[in-house]
Amino acid sequence: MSVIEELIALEDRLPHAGSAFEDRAIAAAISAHPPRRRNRRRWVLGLSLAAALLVATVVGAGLLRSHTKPPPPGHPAPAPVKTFRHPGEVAMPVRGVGIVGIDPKTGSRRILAPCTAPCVAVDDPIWSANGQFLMFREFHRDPALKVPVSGPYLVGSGQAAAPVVIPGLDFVEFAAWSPRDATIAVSGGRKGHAEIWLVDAATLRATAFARTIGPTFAETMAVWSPDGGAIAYSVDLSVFSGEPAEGQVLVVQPLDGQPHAVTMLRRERGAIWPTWSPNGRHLLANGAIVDAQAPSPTATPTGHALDGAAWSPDGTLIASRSGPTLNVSGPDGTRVVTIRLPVTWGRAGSWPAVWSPDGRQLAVPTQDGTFLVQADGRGAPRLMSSHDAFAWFQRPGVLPVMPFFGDPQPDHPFA
Amino acid sequence: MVGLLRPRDGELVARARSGSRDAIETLARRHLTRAWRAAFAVSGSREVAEDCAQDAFIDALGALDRFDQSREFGPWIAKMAVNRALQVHRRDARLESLEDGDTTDGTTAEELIAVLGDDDLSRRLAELPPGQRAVLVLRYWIDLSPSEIADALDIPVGTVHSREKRALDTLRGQIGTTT
Repeated sequence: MSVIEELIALEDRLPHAGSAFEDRAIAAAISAHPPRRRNRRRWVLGLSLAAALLVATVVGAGLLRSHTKPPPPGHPAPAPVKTFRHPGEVAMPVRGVGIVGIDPKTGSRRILAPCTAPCVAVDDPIWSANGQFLMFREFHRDPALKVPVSGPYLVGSGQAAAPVVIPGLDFVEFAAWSPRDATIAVSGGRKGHAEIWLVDAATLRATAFARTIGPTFAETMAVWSPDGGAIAYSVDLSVFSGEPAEGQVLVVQPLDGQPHAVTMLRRERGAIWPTWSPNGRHLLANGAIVDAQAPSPTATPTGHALDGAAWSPDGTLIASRSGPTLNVSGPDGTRVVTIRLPVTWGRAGSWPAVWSPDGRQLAVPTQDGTFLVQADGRGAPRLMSSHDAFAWFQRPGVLPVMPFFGDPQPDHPFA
Repeated sequence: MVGLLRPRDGELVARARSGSRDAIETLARRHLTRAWRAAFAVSGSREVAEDCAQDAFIDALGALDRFDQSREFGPWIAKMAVNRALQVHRRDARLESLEDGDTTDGTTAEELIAVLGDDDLSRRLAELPPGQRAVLVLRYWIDLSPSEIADALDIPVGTVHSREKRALDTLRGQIGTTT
C-alpha cells in the first residue's frame, strides 16, 4: 500500500465527532441564524415530544405506532383498470410539453401527461409494475419558499393527471411504487413525526401505514420488500438520548401484520435507508445484516460502514461507497475488491452503485458522471455518461419529492 | 434519476435558506464530523477542532447565498474548519514561527497520535507542521484540487505543491514505503 493510500485510510481511524458536539453546534448555528417562526414552533414541539418520549423509555417497537387500516367495510371493489403503458414504451420528460411516451421500435410518440399552466416542469416519470399508472413529479413555484417545489402526480389510462394528496402532511419526501401492484408508499412528515401512507393509484385513496415518533430531520423512506409484502424503514433514536450509541430502530412491517423493530447501533446519526436482499430474506442497514424473516430479527454487524450499499443481483456481494472509493465485499463483511474512481471527494457523492443484471459490472454515479467498473476490480473505471440517468436503476419505482432549488431542466429538450 | 435518491446538499441548502431547521440539522449530521476530523488532524486538539468545526458551520449558514448549489456542502465547511484550525495555530505564540508552514516547531500532536494509534505513519503525520498537515488533509481526505486548496488557505498553488511534496517525502522517507 502506498503512503497516500495509507494516509487516506488513516481518516477512518478518527472517531465520530460526537452527538453532544453536534447538538451544541446545531444549537449555536440556529442561535446565530434563527429559522423563521414557523420552524421555531416546530422545534419547540419536537423538543416537547422528545422530552415526553424520554419519560416513556422509548425502546424498540414501543417507539412506533402503527396505523394500518383496512379499507372501509362495504367499499365497492374498484373497477378493472386498463393498462396504460404500451409494450416497451419509454416515458420521458420533454421540456415545454410534459411526459411523453415513446415506442423505441417505431419511434411513435404520445403525450402521457401534458405540462400545463401553472406547471413549471415535469420530471422523473416512473411506471407502476403492472403498467397501469405512471407516477411523476410536477414542479410549481412556491411563493413562500421562492423556489420551485414538486409533488407526486399520477396518471392512468383515460384519466387526467392528478396530484397525490395526503391530508395534513407538511411535506412529502419520497413516493415508491409497490413492486407487485399499483400502490405507492408515500413518505413524509408533520409536526415532529415521520409518516408513511399507502395510496391506491386507482382511487387515490390514502391509508395511514406507519407513524414514527421521531425527529422531522430524519429522511425516512419506505423501502418495499421485493415481493411487495412488507415495508422497511428506520427511526433515529439518538436524538432522544444524545448518544450515537443509541443508534436507530429498523422497522420491518408487513402489510398485513405487526411491525418488527430491530435496534441498530450506528456510528453516525441520521436516517438510514435499508436495502433488501434480492430474495427478500435479509436487510442491509447501517453496516449490519438483518434476517427479516426471523421471529425476532437482530442486527449482525458486518464490520464495515457499507454506506450507499447495493446488493448484487444474486445476493452474494454488496457494493458500498466511501467517497470516490467503491468496495465490493461479501455479506459477511469480507473485503473482496476496492476500486478507486478518478473523481475528487467533493464530486464523488454517496449514491449507491448500481449492478448490471448479470452482476459483472457496476455503474457508479458521481457528480462528474457515471463510471462503469468491473465488479472484480479489473481494468480502470470508465466514464460512461456525463448524466446521472441510466437504465440499471437500483431502486425501481422510487420517486424523490423534495423541494428543488433552481429551475428544473429536464434532460430531453426535444419536442 | 439516481442522483436524487438522497436529498442533495443543494436541495437541503435551499430549504435551510428558507428557514428549515430540519434541513440545517440534516446538513450538520451529514457533514460536521468530516469537518471536525479535518480540523482535528490539523490542530491535534479535540477542543480546537470542535470550535473550528462549529464556527465553520455557523459561518457557512451565514453564507448560504454564496454556496454553489452544484457542489457538496461537506468540503465547503471542511476547508473552512481547516482554515480556522490554522488560524488558531498561528495565534498560538509557540507556533508563530510556522507562518510559512514549512518548518516544524519540534512539537508533536500527541492527542492526534492517541486517537490514530502510535504507529510510524501516525507519528510522522502528527510531527508534520500544521501547514503541511492541512494540505494533506485537504488534498487526500477532503479531495480538493491544489488550486482549491490554494484558495482555501490563501497561499499560492506552488506553495501547495511544495508543502504536499515535502509532507509526502517526510512520510515516505521515514516509514520506508513507496508511492
